Amino acid sequence: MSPLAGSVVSASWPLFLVAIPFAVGALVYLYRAKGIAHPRVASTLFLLSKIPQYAPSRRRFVPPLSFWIEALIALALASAASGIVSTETGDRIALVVDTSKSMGALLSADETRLQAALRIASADIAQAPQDSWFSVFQAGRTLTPLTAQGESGGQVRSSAARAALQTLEPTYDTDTLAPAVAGILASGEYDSVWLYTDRSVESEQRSDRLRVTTIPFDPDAARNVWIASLGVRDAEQPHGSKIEVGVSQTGKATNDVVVSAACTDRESGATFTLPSGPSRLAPDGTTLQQLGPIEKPWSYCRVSIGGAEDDLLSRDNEAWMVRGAITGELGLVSALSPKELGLEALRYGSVVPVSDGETDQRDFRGIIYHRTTPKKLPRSAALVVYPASGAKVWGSVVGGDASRGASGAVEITRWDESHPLLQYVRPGLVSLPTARVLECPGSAQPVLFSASGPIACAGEEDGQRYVILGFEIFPFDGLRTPTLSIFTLNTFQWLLNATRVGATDIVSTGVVRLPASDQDATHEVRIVAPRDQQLAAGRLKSVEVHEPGVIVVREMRKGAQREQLLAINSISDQESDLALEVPIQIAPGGVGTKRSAQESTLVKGARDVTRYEFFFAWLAVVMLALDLCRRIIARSGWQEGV
Amino acid sequence: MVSQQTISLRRCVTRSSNGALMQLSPQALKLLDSFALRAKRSFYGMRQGAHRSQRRGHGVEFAEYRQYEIGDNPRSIDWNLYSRSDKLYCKRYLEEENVAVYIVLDGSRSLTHRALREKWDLAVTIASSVAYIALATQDPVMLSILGGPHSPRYWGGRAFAPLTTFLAEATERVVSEATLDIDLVQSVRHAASRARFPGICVFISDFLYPLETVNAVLAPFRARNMEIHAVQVLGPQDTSLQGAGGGAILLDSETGATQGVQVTRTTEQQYATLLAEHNAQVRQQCLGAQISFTGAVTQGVEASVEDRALETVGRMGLFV
Repeated sequence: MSPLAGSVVSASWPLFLVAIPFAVGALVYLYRAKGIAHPRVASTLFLLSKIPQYAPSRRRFVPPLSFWIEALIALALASAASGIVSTETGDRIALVVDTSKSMGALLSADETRLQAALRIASADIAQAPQDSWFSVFQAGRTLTPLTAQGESGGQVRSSAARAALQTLEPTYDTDTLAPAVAGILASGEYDSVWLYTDRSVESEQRSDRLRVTTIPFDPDAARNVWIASLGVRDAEQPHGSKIEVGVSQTGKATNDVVVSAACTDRESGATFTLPSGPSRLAPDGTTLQQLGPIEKPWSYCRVSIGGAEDDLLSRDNEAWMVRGAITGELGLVSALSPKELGLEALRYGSVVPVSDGETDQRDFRGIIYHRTTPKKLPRSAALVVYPASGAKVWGSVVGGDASRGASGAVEITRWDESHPLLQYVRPGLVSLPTARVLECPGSAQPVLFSASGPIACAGEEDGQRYVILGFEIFPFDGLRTPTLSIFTLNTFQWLLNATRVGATDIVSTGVVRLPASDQDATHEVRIVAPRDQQLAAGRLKSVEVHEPGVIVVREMRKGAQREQLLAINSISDQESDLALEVPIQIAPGGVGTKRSAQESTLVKGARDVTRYEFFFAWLAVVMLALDLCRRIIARSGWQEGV
Repeated sequence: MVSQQTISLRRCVTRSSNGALMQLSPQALKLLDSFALRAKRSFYGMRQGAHRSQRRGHGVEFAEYRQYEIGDNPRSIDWNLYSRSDKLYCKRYLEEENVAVYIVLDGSRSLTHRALREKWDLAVTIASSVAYIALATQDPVMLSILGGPHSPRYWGGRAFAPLTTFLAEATERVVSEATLDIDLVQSVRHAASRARFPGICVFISDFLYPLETVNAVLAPFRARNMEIHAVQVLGPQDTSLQGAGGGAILLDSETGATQGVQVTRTTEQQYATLLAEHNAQVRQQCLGAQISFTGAVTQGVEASVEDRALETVGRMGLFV
C-alpha cells in the first residue's frame, strides 16, 4: 500500500506481484535457451568464416519484440491476479441534518432551527480539510441522501456538499435519528458523522466518529400549541358525530386558543364549518375540545388551531381527518339463508348471501363461509365454519372427523386461554356432536384442540383476520347454548374489530402502506386536500407522502374499483413539545471506532475504490491477440527464428 | 507482329485455372509487354525471328557485297555497281532469326530453404519475367534448375502456361526436398550440355560461394559462346546479421554446419564489408568475362516480390 496523488494504491493479493520478476526471469531463460536450441538459418557460412566466434553461453541477451510482448502479458496477468486497487484518501464525512418538525420551530424572528443548522453545517464544511468527501443526508422519518448516488458513491467535495445543503427541505415529521446515525456509523463507510439537530446525544454513548451539533435554544422560552390527538365520536352514526380534538401546549403561561374545523363532502363538493368555541390551555396543559355535531354528510375535515400567542411552530396547528368507508355488511357464502343460521340475531351488520365468486366485487366487512371453503384469500375478514373433510383452506388441508369420546361427542381437550376468542368461554364444558381436524395455515395459531388435533384456528394474513372452525356454531341461538354463543360472539368481535367501521383513517406522513390487494390490482393515489394533485399510479404497495393532507387511494381491479380516503398527519408530541429534551440514544453496536483505509476498502462501497484487475486482464488479452495477429501476418510460429 | 503474339500469350495465361500458374499479375504482364529481348551479340538462330543473325541472306539490313558465282540468284546482282565496275557483285543482307534463351536457376538450399523462401520466390519471378519476354518475341526458352528438374524447350506465346506450371512443380519439388550440399558445378555442366545452340543464358543465383566456384559455374556456358547475364538474388538474412538478435547460432542451409556469432555493431560492419567485397569481386569477375551482373535484394524496398523482380529485369540490360 502506497500513497499516490491523493489515493492509496494497494493489492488484495500482493504475493502475485512477486511472480512478476520470476516470470520475467523465466522468459529471459527461455529466450536464451531458445537461442541455443534453435539456431537461425543462414544462406551460407561462407562469408561468416571471418567473423569472430563466441561461445553461445556468453552471448549478450538482446530481447526481441516478442520477448517484450510476452513480458508485458506476464506483467498484466500478475497485476490482474494481485487485485490492484486504488483507494482515494481524504476523510469521508456524513452530514446528517435533522429535518423533523421540531426543526421548523422559530429560533429567532427570522430563522428556524433548521436554517440555523444549515448555516452551521455550511461553516463546518468550509473549515474541513480540502480533500474531504461529504455525503449529505436529511433525517426525518427516513434517512434520505441528498448527494447523488452515482457520483463517487454519493460522496462529493465541499462545494457540492454546500450546494446539496441548499436543496434540503423540511419534512415536518418525526425523526428517527438514533437508528439512522447508528446505521451510518456501523456501515463503516464514513470516517466521521456530523449530526445537526435540536436534540442531544447521551455523553456516555458518544463516539469519536460522531460529532453532534445541537442547535442552541432556551427551553423556558419555547412556546407552542399543537393538535395532540384527533378522533370521531359516534362515528357509525351518519349524522350527529362529533370531532374530538386534543390540544396541548408547552409554555409557562395560560393560552386561549380557538379550535375550528372545516369539513368537505366529496360527492357534493360542499364545504362547511363546524361550530367551535374558545379553549383555555393551562401551562404545559392539554385539553380535549369537541366540535360538532356534524349534521351534514362529510368526507374529510381540516382541523386547525387559531389565536395562539407566541407560537413558535405553526406547522402542527392543523390536522386532517377522513370518514372511513362504512359498509356494515357481512357476506355469507352458504347453502342456507342468514335466517336459518340465526345470523339475524347477531347485530354486527346486515348479512347478505353471496356466492364465492361475488365476494371480490363488493366491499364486505367480513365474509362467512359456511360448510364451504373460499377459493382464495378474501380481502376482508373471513370466518370458515365446518369445512368439508379433505378441503383446502389457504393451502392447509382439513383432516377427517375428530374422534369422539365415550359420550359419543367430540371433547375439547386443550385450548389457548389467552386468545380473545376464548374470553369468558369455558371450552371444557363444550361437547360437540361432530368436528373436523384442521391443519392450521402458517399464519394462524390453533385455538382449540380435540384428542385428534386442532379444531379451531385463528390468524391474520395481509392485515385481515380469519378464523377457521372445524365444528358447527350455527344456528346462533343466544342463551340456549351460552358457551358456544359467547365463543361465537367473541369470534365476530375479534374478526370485525380489526376492520374500520367509520373511524378516522389517520396515517402518519412518510411511507404510507396501501391496502393489501391482489397481484393484478393497480392503485392510483391522489392528494385531494389541501390541493389536488396526482401522486402515484401503478402496481403499488406503498407511497411516500411528506405533506399533511388527505389522499384518496383508488384500487382498480378487473371490473371493479374502490376508493379509500386516508388522512395524512404528522402528530407527534415529541416533535411539537419544543421544551422536551429527549436525548438520542444510539445503540452500542453502532458506535465504533474509525476504520483504517485498508479495512474500509474491504467494506463494499466503503470508499471510492478503483479496481484495476479487469484493466490488466483486458490488457493481457489484447496483447495476446496483437501478438497472435503479428505472428499470423509475419507467418512466424511460436518459436520465432527457427 | 509482336503485339499479336502478346495478346495470344496473355489469353493463354488468363485461361489457366491453376493458381500456381498465376505468378505474374496482369499488371506485371502488361508492363512486360513493353519489353523486348535484344541480344548484344548475334547468334545463329533456328528460325526466322526478331534478332540479327550471323547468317547472311535475305534481310532488310545490307551486310556486304560478294562476287557473283554460278548458281547465285541473278536478282541479287547489283546492276548499278556492274555499270560502274563492269563486274558482277551480289548484295548480301543480314538475316533476322530467333535466339535461344537458357534460364538457369540455382536450386541449392541457400535459395530453396523454407526459412529463405523469399529468395527463391524472387528468383522464380525473375525467371518467369525473362521467359515471358523471350516467348513473346518467339525465342525458344529452356529452364534448368540446378539440383532440380530441367524443362523442355518452350516455344511461342502459348508456351508460357506450361512453363509456369513447370516452375510451380519444380518449386514444390526443390523446396520439399531436403537435399544438402548439391554438386553445383556438375549440375551446371549438365544444364549446359542441353544447350544445342549458343544464345542467351540468364543465370540466377545468390553467388554466395567462393570466386573459384563462381568461375566454375559460369564456365560451361561461356564455353558454349553464350551471352551470359548473371543475376544475384540476396535475402534479408544475407544482407544483414541483425535478424540474429544480438547473438545466435547460425546454421548453414547448404552444409548444415553451425557457427556461434555475437552480433554487435562491429560484427555487422565486418559482415557488411565482407559481403560488399565479395559482391564486388563477383561483379568484377563477371565484367572481365563479359558477363553482365545484376543484383537483386528481397528487402530494402517497400515493394512486392513481383515489383522487385520487374525492377531487376529492367536493370539487366537485356531488354529494350
